[in-house]
Amino acid sequence: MNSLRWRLFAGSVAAFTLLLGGGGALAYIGIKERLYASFDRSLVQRAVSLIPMIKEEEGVIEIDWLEYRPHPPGHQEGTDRYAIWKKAANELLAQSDEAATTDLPRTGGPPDRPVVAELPLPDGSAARRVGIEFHARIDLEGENGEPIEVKEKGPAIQMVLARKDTVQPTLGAIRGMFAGIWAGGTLLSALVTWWLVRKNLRPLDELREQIGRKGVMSGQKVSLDRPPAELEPVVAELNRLLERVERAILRERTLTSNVAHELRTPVAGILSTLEVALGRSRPAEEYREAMDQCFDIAKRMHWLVGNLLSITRIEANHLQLQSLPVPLHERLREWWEPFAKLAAARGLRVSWSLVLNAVVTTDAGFLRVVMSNLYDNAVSHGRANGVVRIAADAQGAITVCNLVEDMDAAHVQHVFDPFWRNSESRDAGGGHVGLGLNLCQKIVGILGGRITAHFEESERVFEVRVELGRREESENGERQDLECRMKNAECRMKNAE
Amino acid sequence: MKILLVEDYVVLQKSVSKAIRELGWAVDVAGDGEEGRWFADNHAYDAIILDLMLPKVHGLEVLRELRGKGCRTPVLILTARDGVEDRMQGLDMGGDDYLVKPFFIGELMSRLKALVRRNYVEQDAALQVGDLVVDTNARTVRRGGVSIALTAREYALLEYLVRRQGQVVTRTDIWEHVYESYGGSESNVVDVYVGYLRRKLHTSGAPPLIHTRRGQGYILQGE
Repeated sequence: MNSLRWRLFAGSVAAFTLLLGGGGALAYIGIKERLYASFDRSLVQRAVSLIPMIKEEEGVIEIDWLEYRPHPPGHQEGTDRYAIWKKAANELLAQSDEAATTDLPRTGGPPDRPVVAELPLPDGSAARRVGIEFHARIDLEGENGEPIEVKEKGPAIQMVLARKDTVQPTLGAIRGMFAGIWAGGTLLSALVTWWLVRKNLRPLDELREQIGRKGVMSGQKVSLDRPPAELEPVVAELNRLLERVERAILRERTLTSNVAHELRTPVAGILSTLEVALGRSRPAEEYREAMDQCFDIAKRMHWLVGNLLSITRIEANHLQLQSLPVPLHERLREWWEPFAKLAAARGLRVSWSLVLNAVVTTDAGFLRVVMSNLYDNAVSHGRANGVVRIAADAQGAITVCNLVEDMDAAHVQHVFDPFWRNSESRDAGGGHVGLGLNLCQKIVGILGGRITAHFEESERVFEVRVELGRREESENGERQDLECRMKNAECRMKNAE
Repeated sequence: MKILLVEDYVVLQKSVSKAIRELGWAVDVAGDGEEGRWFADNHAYDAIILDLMLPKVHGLEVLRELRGKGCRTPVLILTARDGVEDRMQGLDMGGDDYLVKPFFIGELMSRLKALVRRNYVEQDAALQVGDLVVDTNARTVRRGGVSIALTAREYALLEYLVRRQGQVVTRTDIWEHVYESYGGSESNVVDVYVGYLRRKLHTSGAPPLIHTRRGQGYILQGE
């Protein structure tokens, strides 16, 4: 009942039925009025034709036809009835037999405006009556029998002529015919409408079938054979929507698959290390080595899970930023401390180029996550025994750069993609899965800043630059920025060596 | 037996190679596809454990090249990719077995032993030559019902000789299949260990099992 097909069908049939019914009713009323007008006109003409037959002669009212017959000429027995009164004396001059049993109202108008009305008959049937008031003609003759013109009016006469309503049966037949036409028309319109609706809504059925058959991940587009103009944009939009949904699902599947994949390898590491360690009785230091290894893997997994959770929170907008002034020259050094040990183990030297009193107004917690990821990447992927340069200029832009080995310029455009690595392998710890820079990009975006990566192929220096939106510059920032840039260039030269 | 492990994740390199060595077998470890390909091209292995997502050369590419060169060494694919398509692709390209990470070392070792057994056309874990019985599961050796204690290297040497019983085995073969490929020299290490093994297997009245074929190598056979 709520389907489009049903609505169109019911609406069309109802509209057609109403139109047919309304048209029929109007036609019926018109026909009825015309028939009654014709009937009444005929009745009036007949009544008017009788007027000359009523005259006064020597003070006596004479009705011509009564000399020969009781009824006027053309009288139809059982159908017509009449009565004639002398108005002043209220004297009934003549009436038909049927009039004796009928209460004929004595109302009338002059011959040019007779009163015509319906007259119910004692047998329940209906009749039409016409009432006329006129003056009888005075008929005088001279001595030789020649007519004498009389100026005076004769006595007032009232005449009511009634005729059984013969229009009613005709109207009944017309009503029956109209009802038949209406019913037949409705039925026919229902059938035609049903066929038309089915035929014209077939593209919708085809659309539904195609969507159901192909599914979202089929990679095929919805295509209708000769689609109606209204459906063309719908199909186009649907195809675009399907593409977007397909891409989104694929992205989600890829992400889930990547997460599962990246968790499997460290889990395999923990399992196999523990299983081998527990496989037989061993010296205490072997157990300790196994536990150390598992602890390292667990820390990496913790890092991975933490990054994943941060990304999820960012994507779900479950964040509350607390923007406060952050003194970069202090915090950047402080946040480096957890990485200093690993950097030293890999022989990495740190070069600082921090503008004194450079302050940015931002969320320190989130900025720390960004910096930790950048530090972690630099320490883990930086060429052993190389230099890691950490700089902050007067505008609050932070730069971390390091030497890299297996990277080329084409990789730079992918470094912010989730789960991207410059080769399919993982690092020894199994923790660098390509989420860190993706997370940094999301966070910096939220902080209203910009993060960019740059690779100097000739010098093999990889640089990540973070520019945060709001900043507070120190008074002598310009000068220190210049110094910072000079140190930057110097650092690159050292790295190139 | 000697296994080639091609795996880039250092933690797994350590644990798996340790488990293989504790099985008494030798193991060479390669950290990327290129290195793995080199090892497989230049040494003889009884089985190869191959990761797929490798730096430099993808594991499937390594496998395709090995099979293309006619290498029939059984290959066990060890990867985190668990899709049906991945498994089908790995096996269709010439892999003999497929194990998804994370895995249990015990299962990996069992699969490895099964692959090696299949390679030597054996169905039984207990190998017999005359009155000598080597149980490759329990890693025990008995002769005439008497248990013989062997070191890991001696056991590995005996197992290899027993698997190739009736065939002349060169010193190079023994070196290739029993010793790891890093450093060292063949020199007379093989001869020394064959001598140790001969002495331990010798029981009074029983015929010798290991025979020397001058200029060729050794052959292990019963009467």
